[in-house]
Amino acid sequence: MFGLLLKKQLTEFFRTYFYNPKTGKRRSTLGVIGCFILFFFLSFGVIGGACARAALSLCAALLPAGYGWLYYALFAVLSLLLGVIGSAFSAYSVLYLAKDNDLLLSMPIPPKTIAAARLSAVYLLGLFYSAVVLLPAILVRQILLGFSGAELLGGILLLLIISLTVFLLAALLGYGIAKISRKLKNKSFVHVLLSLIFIAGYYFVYYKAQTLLAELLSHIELYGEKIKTSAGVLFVLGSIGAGNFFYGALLLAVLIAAVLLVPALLTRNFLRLTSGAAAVAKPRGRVEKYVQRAPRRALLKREFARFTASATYMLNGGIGLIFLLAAGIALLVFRPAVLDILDTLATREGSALLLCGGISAMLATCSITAPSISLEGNTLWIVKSMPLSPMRILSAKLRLQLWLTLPAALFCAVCTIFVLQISPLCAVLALGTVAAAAVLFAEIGLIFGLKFPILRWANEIQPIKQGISVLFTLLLCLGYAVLYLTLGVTVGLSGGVLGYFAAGFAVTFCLTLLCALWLKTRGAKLFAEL
Amino acid sequence: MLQINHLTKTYGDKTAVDDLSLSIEGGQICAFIGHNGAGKTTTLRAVTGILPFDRGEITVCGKDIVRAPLECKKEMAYIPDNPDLYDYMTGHKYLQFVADIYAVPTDVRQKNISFYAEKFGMTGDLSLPIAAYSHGMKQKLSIIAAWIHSPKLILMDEPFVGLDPRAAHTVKEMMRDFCAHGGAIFFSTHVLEVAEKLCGRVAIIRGGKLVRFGRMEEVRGDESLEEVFFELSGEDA
Repeated sequence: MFGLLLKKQLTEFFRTYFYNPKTGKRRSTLGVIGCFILFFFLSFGVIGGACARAALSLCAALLPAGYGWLYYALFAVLSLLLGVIGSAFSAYSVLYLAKDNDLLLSMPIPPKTIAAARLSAVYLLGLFYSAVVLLPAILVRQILLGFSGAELLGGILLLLIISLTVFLLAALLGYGIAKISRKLKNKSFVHVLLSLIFIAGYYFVYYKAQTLLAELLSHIELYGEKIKTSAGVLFVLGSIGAGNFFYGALLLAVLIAAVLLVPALLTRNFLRLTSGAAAVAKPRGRVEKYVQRAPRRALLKREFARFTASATYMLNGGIGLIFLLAAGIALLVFRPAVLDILDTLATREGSALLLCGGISAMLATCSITAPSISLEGNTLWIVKSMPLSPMRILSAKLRLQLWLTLPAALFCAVCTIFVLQISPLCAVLALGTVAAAAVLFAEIGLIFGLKFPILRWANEIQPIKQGISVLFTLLLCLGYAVLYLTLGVTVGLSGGVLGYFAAGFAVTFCLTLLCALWLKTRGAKLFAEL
Repeated sequence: MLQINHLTKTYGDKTAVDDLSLSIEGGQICAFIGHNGAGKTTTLRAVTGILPFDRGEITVCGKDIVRAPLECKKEMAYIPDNPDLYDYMTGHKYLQFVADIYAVPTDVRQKNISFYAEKFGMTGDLSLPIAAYSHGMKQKLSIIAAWIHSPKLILMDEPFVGLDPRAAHTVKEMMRDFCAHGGAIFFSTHVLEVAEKLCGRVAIIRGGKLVRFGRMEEVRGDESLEEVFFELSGEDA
């Protein structure tokens, strides 16, 4: 039974890799292999590649100096952070918000088996995130300094320990969120706030880590001894990676005991938490005042309600908004420092071009339209049975993203203009470029949403985080921003910034028109056929 | 009011609805009965304009559902068999949304919502999130939503499933009242007794084909609707 449930859970994760979400048909073997190659390339190739690059410099500096344990300790911490961030937010949704909870609980399956299968999926997710960081570090050590069986086994043992720790933290965080959620009215906003605090903390640590790492590498012995004496846990973790099996066995035993204990506690409350998840009491009998709104406004309001009802949607679709606002404020606050750096790179207008490319890259991380079609799910019949043209429904989805991203992007662009004090023409072009990019990216998201809809899902994480539409939108929009920046640096800065700005704006604007035309014709037809 | 001519809908190799033709006039309630998978829901979804079909023609109040879908949809309301509604809205917000789309004036929506919510004993529940509703409450909400914009044709797929006896009685009353005022209702059901008592017309579908359609008395003859249904299905009652 457990195996069956785990298989179901994993199939949900990778469903789009095996089945075409649009037709529901099984993909060809080649298609499945292609999807997995893309998945492994993005995780191990991109994130793992960055870790391997860091490992190369750290390994060469730390291991010959006799600080192998410090090398493994650093990667253990990084792995732990990525693992917890990667799986903690999924844990709550996977454990307590799955749509098939009721169905499974109605079957003769003990709730603890359901919870255990879900917890195992959380563990595998955490193991994957941890491995993306730790495996490159282990391999780099083996390749750079020659094969060492003890360190290879130690590294694998460390990975196991980190994955179990990640699992415990993720499961406990998920449980905590579920407990708090039962008592909250505006759950999604509180979730978003908590997540943002968490992410802000992560970036703060990440930012500080760069400086600390440089400092550590220049005074390895001093800091090595300090960490050894004052942060014993790090020393223990690092030693395990370096081949200390005594510490490894000890810590593993403690963790296994905790792993057995914590899920037992969680599963005991699983039934209560899942069955009460939707029941937040609101005052009954409140008299509602009805006001007539135009259908256009009603549709936008519906999209906004959908967006704000889900913390997962807000976090994954709107994280770029925070980046944009934070970047704008940072430009104003750190104006002299920013100007010092930018003045060494380009002229003021050239700097505006670079910053506009950066704003576009941040805009690319806002994928609100991409999962919006899939999120209609079983409720699609409502709008389809109403006297609404497909384009009107699609336009509401576009408008939601624009209402959110356009002000944030323009705010950042205005801050750029203010800080750089550029000419009015350049300012207009910068604003136009940012606005056109915002429209284009919203349209691209909607196009991919229509091309790759997942209307049958058990958990909203599927369309929001695991949908092909979101992945393709992110890649294409980021690619567009990177191309804009690359051409800007190679052609724009040397060949005339204003000309490049104008050409970039014209191209982006034309693309928005083409996308709008596609949405109006083919897109509307695709929506009608859903 | 509703005219279906030679409707055919296939899913791959399977013909779900095969050359189905029928018509319903204002003031009529027509029951649509058939086995599971006979093609009832497919027909209703095609009439609603949700499901594209392969051949045939559907007109609502004289307008073609393919050529003028919006005009047709303005005249009708649809209640599906499984009322999947927006869990993230409250009952009030959902009704407000529906009323906005159908441009129901403020005073009319206020009056209609209060009236029907009171009828179903839902007044206090409308401020709750739909996520907290039972199946029956969702069903009641989708019935209220169908009635608030005063359509001319109502399509219902298994409307009595999940309703308590009181609510089922209220729905039947509402259906009679609606037709008495010139509206038409086309609804699928497995409860043959209800169909027999409530409807003036009946359509029986089997394997996607319409095997009998007409006035209830004509279709039934001297037998009960149940006996006729089983005879047409080739089964014993």
